[in-house]
Order: sequence, then structure tokens, then C-alpha cells
Amino acid sequence: MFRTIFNKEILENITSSRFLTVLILCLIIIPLGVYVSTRDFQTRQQSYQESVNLYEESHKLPTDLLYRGAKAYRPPSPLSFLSLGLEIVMPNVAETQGRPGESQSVVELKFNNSQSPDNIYEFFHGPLDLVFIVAVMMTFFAIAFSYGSISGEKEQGTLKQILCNAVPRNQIILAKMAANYVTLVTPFLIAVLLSLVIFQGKGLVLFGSDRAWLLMTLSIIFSLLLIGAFFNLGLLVSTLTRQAVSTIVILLLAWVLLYGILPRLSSVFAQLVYPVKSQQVLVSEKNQIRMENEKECEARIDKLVDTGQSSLDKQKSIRAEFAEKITGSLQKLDQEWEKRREIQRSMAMNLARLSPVSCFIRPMAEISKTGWLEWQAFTKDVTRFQQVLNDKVFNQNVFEVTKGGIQSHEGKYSGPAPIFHLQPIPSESLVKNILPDFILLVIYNLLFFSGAYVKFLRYDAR
Amino acid sequence: MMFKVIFLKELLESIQNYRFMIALILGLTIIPLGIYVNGKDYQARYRNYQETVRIYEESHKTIQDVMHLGGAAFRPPSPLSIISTGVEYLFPSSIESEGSLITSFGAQTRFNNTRTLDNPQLYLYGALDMTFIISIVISLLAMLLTYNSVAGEKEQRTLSLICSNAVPKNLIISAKMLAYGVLLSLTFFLGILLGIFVLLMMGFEVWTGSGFILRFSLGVAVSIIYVLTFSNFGVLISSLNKRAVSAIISLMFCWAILFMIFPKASVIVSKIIKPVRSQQVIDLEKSQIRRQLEEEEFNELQKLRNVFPVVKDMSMPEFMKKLKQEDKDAVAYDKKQNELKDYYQTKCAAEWGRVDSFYENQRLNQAGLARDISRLSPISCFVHLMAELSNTGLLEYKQWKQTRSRLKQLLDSEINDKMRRVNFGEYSFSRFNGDENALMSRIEYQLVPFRKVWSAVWPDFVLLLLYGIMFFLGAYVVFLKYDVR
Repeated sequence: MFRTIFNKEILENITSSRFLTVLILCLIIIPLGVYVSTRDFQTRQQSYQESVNLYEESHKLPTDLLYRGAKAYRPPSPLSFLSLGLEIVMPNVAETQGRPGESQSVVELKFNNSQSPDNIYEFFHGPLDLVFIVAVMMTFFAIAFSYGSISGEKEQGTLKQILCNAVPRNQIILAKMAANYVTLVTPFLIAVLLSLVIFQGKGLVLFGSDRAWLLMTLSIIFSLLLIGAFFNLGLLVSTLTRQAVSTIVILLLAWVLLYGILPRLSSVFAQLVYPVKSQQVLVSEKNQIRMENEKECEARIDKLVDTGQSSLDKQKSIRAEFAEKITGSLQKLDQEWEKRREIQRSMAMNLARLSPVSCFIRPMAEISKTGWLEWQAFTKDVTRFQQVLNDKVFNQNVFEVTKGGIQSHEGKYSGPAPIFHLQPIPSESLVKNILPDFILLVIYNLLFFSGAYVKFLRYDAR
Repeated sequence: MMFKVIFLKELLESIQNYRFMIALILGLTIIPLGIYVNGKDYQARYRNYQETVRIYEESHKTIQDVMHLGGAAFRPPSPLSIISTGVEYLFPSSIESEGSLITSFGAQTRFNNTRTLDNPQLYLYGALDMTFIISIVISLLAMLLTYNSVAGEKEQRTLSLICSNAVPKNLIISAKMLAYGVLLSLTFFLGILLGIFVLLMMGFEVWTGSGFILRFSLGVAVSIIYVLTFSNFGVLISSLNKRAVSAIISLMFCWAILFMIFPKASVIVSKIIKPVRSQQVIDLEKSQIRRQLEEEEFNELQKLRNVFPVVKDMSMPEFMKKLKQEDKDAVAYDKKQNELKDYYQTKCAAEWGRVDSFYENQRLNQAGLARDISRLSPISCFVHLMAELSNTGLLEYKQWKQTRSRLKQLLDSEINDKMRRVNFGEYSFSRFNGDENALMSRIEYQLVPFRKVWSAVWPDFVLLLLYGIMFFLGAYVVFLKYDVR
């Protein structure tokens, strides 16, 4: 019986204009989105590669770093066609300022975002990545496919006729759900696979990392779950209403709330409830602390020199004391700020999870390596690189203040200049990060479907 | 008289409908909420801006401070971002000097954007500003309110009954459209009034500055035109369909096309038709030009020293000593080498200017093409108009980018041009020939004035009006031609 209803629904769907429209739109928009996003990635990759090559050519030895400064570049993510996420707004380089070799204090790498968008126009309407296509277009189609599945039959009186026969109700709803869902996701899967095959063949999708296909599969699972959540919601509303028009009106309002309002409101709410000062103010405060301490340090050394009690060792110990003080103060400031920002971020994230759309958008950014995890990994690796630079290069030079002026004692350098490497995010961290969203999406699917199932079983045909 | 009767009937019917109640509740909650949160966000950003400028000014008082720490220029956030955040989040928050200020080719500057990671959710989910609320939420509500205006009556056969009586068809459709227009405008207007009340309550302090009231009022007027356009569009599609459900499905697909396909496709088409190299590649090209000229300059200076009489046999300390004594040969050599340096500096500036203007024109052409294509959708026209009115659009970005050259000019005129540079073979020395303790000038940035904004956005305004009229006429004609049989 299940098979009969399933086949009937499939045939009905395939011959409808809805299916054709969805198929055509998917076959046009998804490959186009993948093409444009991969082209953009290639441009970013080319810029990154050229910048790194130029840097490495001119910074071969530790002494080069002393006068030219050090830089740490963040590579662009090849999976940004899945979700552009924070890719464009995240700093893409951390660099020293001025001539670090002349600095008598701790050298700090500062984050900078030099990715000034070439055509800012395209950001007016957001990127055409897979996240946008699924979160907007496919959820819309999910509504279009599910709104009339029960209420439409109620309205036309066909549901009564079916129920008058010896057909188990659970099989009707299960078959309807399965058939409509399969018809909805088939064009999507065909378009995704087709675009991947075409562009991989043309060498446009550069799956550099070994986990790329795994991450791709994960992102398709998330997409199917979101489409499923909206589809099941449609089914639930359809069982609750008697007219197809009422179903679609309610579903559109729900879409506005879940896509347009809840996720956006969450970040705003968190900002209002738990304000955190901006990064720009933090940088300025850090500069002030550094300047004050450096002035104090120089004053103490000058005093020693003036009183004739100065020696290189004494100066070294004063500098070391202040270097420690500066590092401590800056770290404390960073940690406090980071802590507050983390609280604000998790508050917004948890609130946004009330909508399945948010449970899809954020993990997709993490899967595509364009999310918060990637930024945290970059920050962590830059801090480590900064430590290596200070220990092996910048702190090797010793400055001695004498009555005749500043005398520099050049350090001993050996080997090539340290080079920055961004460590990939461990799979465990990624899984841990996206698991709650995955579970929530499954729960949304189950919740909406079981709601529809129970309501349908209790439906009174009279 | 007849018109009034139909108008009042439609009005009453719609008011009693739950869809209108939902639209009213949403309008009265989301619009003030959007204005409130964006007002708060603006206030926080403005405080951050003031704090950053204060700290900068405290530590960058004199020329010596700037020589030591580098110079910067900051852009204040736009107060009108309460109605459209546009692409302001992508604007570099500051322009800074890069590396040493004292170079043979003048100060180097770069953009920096530190604002971006203050609120990552904003970039993932988007902003809840008035433009988003109207362009997406209210336009959908307008369609939900109007989808069955004609198709619903056709389906229930009440339209046949009305048309069987001596009621002019044009009066029926005009009264219907006016009723929906009035209801939607009223909902939106009440929401805005509440929003203004909220702004007053939170002590928003920009009412008189930078043409705020004019821009805000124009923004409200444009929003009303936009809402009416979608209301007319709903009636048009409803007139074209025989069933309410087909009308709403058609509206959904049309809306998706207007929201997604036209704006996004415009960018893709423009990129394919008029490709432009990326800014980073252009910067690399510029640095190559610079390196080449620096090399040429160095070789020329070497050549000059080797052929200059007397000087060619001098050692560096001797030359410095002679120059101090104003020896004729040393001074002549110094003059000649300065001429060479000026020549290369001018050549580099000209080459860079050529590269910049070439690519800028290409970029503008690409953006212009994309914008023209996207104008096929009223949603794009509205979004652009609101962003430009709010100083968060392309014009503002262009002007802010130009500040980069203003900062360079300032740093060059106050520091770099006053440097006395002496080159002798491989050695070069620099000495500041001015007062290091003199106060450093600052760059005051002004947002793009209204006149300039209007001259750029009037086509969008006209197009939006045209769309509204076109949809109205379409619905009118289709309804007049409706055959009751």
C-alpha cells in the first residue's frame, strides 16, 4: 500500500509544473553559484599565493625580518563556495609594524584585513553560495511542495475518499512525506552533483585538503536536514489547516520569522543585553598600555645611565621585567575581552538556534572553514608564531643606552627565517562544534514530522 | 459614491482579516525594534569611534608622534545606518600609514578593517535594519494581503455577482487597490511613528545634523512607494489568476525571482561580461612598478656619482663634510640627485595614477552594468536607494576610498616633503627640516552630501515609481478585460 501511494505521489509531483520549475531553477542557480564562488576563491587564492611568494622571497633570513617586519598570511578556504561565512570580513594577515629590529620591547603581530572588496556592489545582496541557495531558495521550494499535501486534499475532498477505504493512515502520511521529500531534494542533489563534477573536471573546485569530500558530504547532509525541517513544518501546518491557502499564508509567515527575524534578532539581542567594546578600542587601549610601559622603562634606564650605575646586564633585566609586564597586561586585556566576547557570542548563538535556519548557517560556515573556528585557529597560531619570532629573532638584538647614545648589540642568528603555518582544525573540534546544531536539526525534523503524523492519525474525516 | 462604498467595504473586510492583524502586529513590533536596535548599534559604534579618535589624538599630537607611530584617518559611522546598514560593515574602519613614513616615493597608506569581528553573527545572518524589514518582510506581507483580492472573489464567484450589477469595473479595481494601499501604508507609517518615538526616548542626537530629517523623510516616502508597488503587484497577479492558491504560488515564485535571481544574476553577468583583476593583483602590479623605478633611480644615482667631477673621488664622510661647508661641487651634486629623485617620485605617482584610474574605471563599469541589470527588480532599486540615502552605499565607499590619497598627501606635505635626504652611493641619510614638535594636522572626514547622493539615486526613485504605476495599470487593464463567463 505504501508503495502505491508513494508511486502515485511521485508521479503526480513529477508531472506538475512545480517540479519542472524547481528542476530548472536548481539546474541554473546551483551551478552558477558554484561557478562564481569558485572563481572568487581562485582570485583570493592567487592573491594569497603571490603575497606569500613575494614575502618568502624577501624574508629568507632572520635579519630580513628585523628590518622588513614579519607577516602571517591566512589562506583562503577552497570550500567557501559552500558558505562564504566570515571569509571576507576575517583578517587575512597578521603583521608587525615599522621596523621590529629597532624595537626595544616585545614585538606584536597585529591583525589586518587587506581584502578590500573589489566590487562592493555584490555584497548588497549577499553572496550566491550554497548556504544562500538552501536557506532561501530550497526552503521556499519546501514550502511550495508541502503546503497542499494534506490541506489540499482536504479541500478537494479527496482525503475523505481515501480514508473511506481500508488504507492505514500512517502509511498515507509516511508515503506522502517520503514521496514529496524525494521529489523536492532530487533536483537539488542532481544540480549539486552535476556542478561539482563539471567544475572539478575543469579544475575550478580546488579540493586541496584531504577532508574536502567528507566536508562536502557533511554539508549536503546539513542541507537535506534544513530542507527536511521546512518540508515537515509544511506538512505539519498542512495537517492543522483545512485550506491550502491558509497553509501557505501561515508557512510564509513562519518563513519570515525563522529566516528573516529570529537569527538577526539574536545577535542584536546579545549585543544589547551584554555589550562588549569594539576591537578598534581594544587595539587603541593596548597601544596606550604599551606606550606607557615603554616610556617608564626608558625613564628607568635613563636614570641608571645618568647616575652612572648602568650596565648591560642591569638594562637587560629592566627590559625583561617590562617586557614581561607588557606581555602580561596585554594578555590580561585580551583574555578579559575574549571572555566577554565569547559570552556574547554564545548567547547570540544559542538564541539563534531557536530557528532551524541558524542551526544550518553557522555550522555550514564552520564546515567550509570560513567560520569562527577558523578565526580562532588563526589567532592561536599567530600568537604561537609571535612567540617564536620574539624568542628567535626580535629579542636577540640587545640595545644598550649609554651617555653617548644607544648602542645596539646584534644577536646571533642562524638558519632560515621562521615561516607561519596555519594548522588545520582537528576533526574532533569541528564535530564538537557542529554536533549540537546537527542534533537540533534532527529534533526539528522529528518534532515537525511527529506533529504532522499524530495530527493526521487523529484527523476526523467527517 | 459607488467608489466610496467599495473602498469602505474592502477596507472593513481587510481590517477584520487575521492576515491584516498579523501584518499590523509585525509592522508595529519589527519596524520600531529594527530602528531601536540599529539606533543602539549606531550609538555604540559612534562611542567606539569617538574613543578611538580620542586615544589617537592624545598619542598623535605632534609631527614627531606621527613619525614615530604612524598616521591614520577614521570614518565616523553614518547616523542614517538606522534605516539601512548597506555595506557599511565592509568599509575599512581606518586608513593607516604603512611602514616607514620616510621613503623616496612618499608615505604609503593602506586600509584596515578592525570592526568586522566585533559581531560575527551579523555577517552570518545579516542585519535587521529598516531596509531589510521593508524589502523582505513588509513586501511579503503586502503580497499576503493582496493575493486573493481578485482571485479570491473569482473563486468564490462573488466577483461575477458584483460584475452582474451596474458597477463600473474600473471603480471596483481602483477602490480595491486604494484600500490595500491605504492599509499597508498606514501599518508602515504607524510602525515608523513608533520607531521615531523610540529614537526620541533613547536620546538619539542627530536630528539636525547632515540633512538627517530630509534623508529620513525621503527614506520613509521611498518605503511607502515600495510597499504600494508590491501591493499593486499582488493585485496584478491576483487578477491574472483564477484561484487564490495559484495567485499566492505565482507571487511566491515571482518574489523569489525578484529577490534572488535579478540582484544576484546582475553581479554574475557583469563579472562575466566585464571581468576586472582583483585589488590585490593591482597592488602587486603597483609594487612591481615601484620596485622597478626604485632600481632605476638607484642605478641613475650611482651613475651620477661616478661621473660627477670631484665628488666621484670623495669618500662618504668627506662628501658630508663638504656638503656641510657648502662646497660648490657637493652642493651641485646634491641638487642634481634631488632633481633625479623628484623626477622618479613624479614618474612613480603618474604610473600609479594611471594604473589606479584604469582599474577604477573598469571596476566602475562592471559595477554600473551590474547595477543597471539589477534595476529590473524593484527590490534592488529600493535597497540601493536606501543605502545611498543612508551613506552606507557605493558612493560613500568611493569617497572613503579617496581619503586614502588625502592621508598620503597630508603625510607627504607635513613630513615627507620636509625631509632632507642625502644619497651618496649606497648610503642614504634623512633629516627632518621642520619643527618636530609642531602640531600635526588631521583629516576630518565628511559623509557624502545629499545633493551628490540624489544625483546618483534619482533613476532608482523614478524606476520604483514606474514599477508601481506599471503594476497598477497592469492590474487595472487585466481586470477591465476580465470576462465573467
